[in-house]
Order: sequence, then C-alpha cells, then structure tokens
Amino acid sequence: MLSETLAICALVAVIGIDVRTIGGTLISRPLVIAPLTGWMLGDLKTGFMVAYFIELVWVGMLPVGASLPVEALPVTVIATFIASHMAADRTFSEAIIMFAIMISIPFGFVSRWLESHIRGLNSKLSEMLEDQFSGERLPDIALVQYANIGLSFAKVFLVCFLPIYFGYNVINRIYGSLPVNITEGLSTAFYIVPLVGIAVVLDLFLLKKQLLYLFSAFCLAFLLFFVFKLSPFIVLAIGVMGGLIALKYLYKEDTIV
Amino acid sequence: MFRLFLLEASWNYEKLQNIGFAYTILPIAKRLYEDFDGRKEFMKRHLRFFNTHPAMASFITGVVINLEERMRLGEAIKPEDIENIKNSMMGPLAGIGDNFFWEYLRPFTALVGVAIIMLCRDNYAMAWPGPLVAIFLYNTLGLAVRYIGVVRGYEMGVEIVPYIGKLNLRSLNEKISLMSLIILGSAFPAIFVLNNIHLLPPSLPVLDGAAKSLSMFGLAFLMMAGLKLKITPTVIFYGVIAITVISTYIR
Repeated sequence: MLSETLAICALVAVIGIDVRTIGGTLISRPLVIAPLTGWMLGDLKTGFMVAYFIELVWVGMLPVGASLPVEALPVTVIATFIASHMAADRTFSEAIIMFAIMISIPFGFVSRWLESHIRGLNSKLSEMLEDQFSGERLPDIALVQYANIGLSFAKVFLVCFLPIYFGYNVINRIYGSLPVNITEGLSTAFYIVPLVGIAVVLDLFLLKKQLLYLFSAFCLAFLLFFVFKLSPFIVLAIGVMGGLIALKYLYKEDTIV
Repeated sequence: MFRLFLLEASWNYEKLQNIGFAYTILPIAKRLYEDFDGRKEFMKRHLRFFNTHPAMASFITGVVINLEERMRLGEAIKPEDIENIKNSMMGPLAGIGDNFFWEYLRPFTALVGVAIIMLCRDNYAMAWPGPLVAIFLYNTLGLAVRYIGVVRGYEMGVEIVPYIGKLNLRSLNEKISLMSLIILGSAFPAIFVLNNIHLLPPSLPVLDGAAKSLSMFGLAFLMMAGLKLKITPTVIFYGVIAITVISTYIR
C-alpha cells in the first residue's frame, strides 16, 4: 500500500501545483483528479462517483482577492482512495462513498489553513526581494517562484499522504463498527447529496428572467424521459440544441466585441 | 507567455502577485537592458503591488512590454506612466476576469462534465468524455485569452483600454448562464432516478420515478434558498447526511 500511496500522492501533488500556481487549468478540479486517482487504483467507478459529488459543491467559492476557498483537491484524493480501498475490503455500498467523503472534507480546511500560512511567508519573501536591491546582486525572482512551486508540491503531498497512510486503518474500522441504521442513512444520502451541487449551480446562475427557460427545459426533458422513454443522452442533445436556438434568437443583436 | 501561468505562484498578502508579474516580465528586462543598473531599475519598477485575474494579466503584460520597449527606444515615456497604466488596468481587468472565468465559465464547464458523468452511471467506462470536455472548453478559452491578450496588448499599446471597455461580456455571461440552466433542466430528470426510495407503490414505476424527480427538483430549490441565506454548501452537505441518518431511526 505504501508504494501505491506514494505514487498517487506524488502525482496529485504535481497536478496540485496547478491549483494556485498555474492559475487553474481545471486539471486540479475533482472532476479530473477523482477519475485519475480511481484509474490508478483500478477502480474507475468510485473515482467518477467521488468526482460528481465533490465537483459542484464548492464550485461557487471563488479565489477572489484575499479570500481562500476550501481546497477540494485533498478532499477528492483522500475520499477516492479511502472509498476504493474500503470497497475492495467488503461488498460495495453507496454508504462507503458517503462516509469517505464525510471523513475527507476536514482536510480541505487543513489545506486551506496551510495555504494561508504559505502566503504569509510569501509576504516576507517579497520584502526580502526588495531589500536585495540595495545589494550588489540582482534579486533572484525566478528562484522564489521555483521555491513556491516546491512548497505547493510539499503541501499537497503531505495533506494527502499523512491521512491516507496513517488514517486508513482507523477509518476502515470505524466504518466497520457503524450501526446498520447509520449506513442505511448514508446510502439514502448518496442519492440526495448531489443536489447540493445542483443547488450551488442554481444559486450562481439563476436569473429571474431565465427561470422560464429552466422550467421549460425541465418539463420537456421530463416528458421525453418519462413518457416517451428516450435515452438520457438524446434528451440532453435535444436540450442543448434547443438552447442554442434560443441563444440565437434571444441575443441576435449582441456581439461580443 | 508561458510564464504567465506562474503568475500566482508567489501570491502574498502584501503585494499579491508582484513576484509573479516580475517573473513573467523578466526576459524582457534581459533583452532590453544589457547593464546591471538598467535591469535593476526595471525589476524594481515591476516588483510593486500587482493584482488581477491570471488570464487577464496577459493584456497588461502586452501593454507593459510595448511601453517598456518604446521607452528604451527613447520615446517620451516616464516610468511613472507605465506604473499608472498598470494600476489603472488591473482593477477593471480583475473584475472582468474573475466574473467571466470563475463565476461563469468554470461552473459551466464543471456542470457539463458532471452531467455527462452522471448520465453514464450505468457504465462508468463511458464517462471519460465528461472531464475531457470540461478541460477542453475551459482551457481553449483560457489560452486564447492569454494569447490574444499578450499579442493585442503589445500591438495596440495603450489603445487597448477602450478596446477592453467595449467587450460585451455581460451578454456572454447571460448566454452561459442560460445554457447552463437548459443543460441542467434537460439532464435533471434522468440524473435523479432514485433506486432505493419509493414515493408511490413500486407497481407504478413511471409515476413513481416522475414523482421522485419532481420532488428532487423542489428540494434543489429549497437548498438554493438555503445558499441564498448564506448557509455554506459544507453545512448543507453535512445537514443532508444528518437528516437522512436520523430519518432511519424515526422510521
């Protein structure tokens, strides 16, 4: 388990540099990380499940200015790892996924706390660079950048590795000792919790004047899916086409530039 | 331009992205100034407070390179002018960039990816297009903006300011949000098919499914109301789990 854990944490930490350092190319989002971790563990199913659970929940928290969002990356990795190992130890149940995610969320806060300290350190580095102007040498700006990339790697690596490697057995045993009622409740939650992500998206996007389109898309899809029994992909394709047509007619006059 | 990706690496609380910006622009210092003092002054100028959206910083980079070159070639531009232009561009660009990339584009691409994964839940091996589509959508736009930013900024110089002012991002944002709502609406009934809960007798599978779908739709609105009341998603997440667990003891 050690080599596997090390490999995954190292890979994820490299990708994790993207979170803040590379300015977000989205490869560090749970949507990508969870299937990747799952794939490395040979358990794609768990990976994709964790992906859609975590991705949307914090998509609304923006790294604007000085505010730091909860870091979804460690949450995703820890949850995927724990869930797929627990699922390998016993028969699969939806409750395993829910339990793994529940346990992992606090580490997102740990990671955020670390990040704020790294930023404090950067303030000192910035001062140091400016002091160097009085000296004979030019300040080494590139070196500070590389040091920060290293720090960011170390942060993600540690936050992912420590809980997985030292915590997995404990977490596994806790889950094993849960009463049936709790696991049953967790299984039910499995089907309802993705709604939190949907609600976050609605909260971000819903304008009053667009409410009508949401309802009409929903009603149309509802009809097609339940009455005409079309495949969900065809329903989605019809929806997208309808959306494009609506865009064309609604914003005929507007140009982007 | 590649260096722009590292803009936020040394983010700090005092001057925000100053180190990142200086790093981005470092090769220009080496090209324009052979002597030590020239490079030193150049670095000093660009190690001041800097904060904007990472992709939109490309416009500023382009303009600054343009001005620095012209100053070096002897045109009447003072270092203070460059500083002022940088400062005047940072704020509006940060507003545009944060708004477009983070509040609209990122949730939109995430939603598309998640919708594809959730629709593939019978066979997860088919779900790969989800993440791939999301990465592709987001990064082609991000890269395009970075490229256009540096090139246009460099070509147009200060003239870029009115050009950015004319960008009609509001309508683009509305288009994105409309599209997201339509995708959400059309994927919703198929996504929330609950297997282990029955509202109506299982002998009526279609009606049962429809009733569950409708009630889930209502529940999503209820949660949205919670978010509007500034309850964080994390709290709602744990709240739902708590309620479902407690409900098993009541039954």
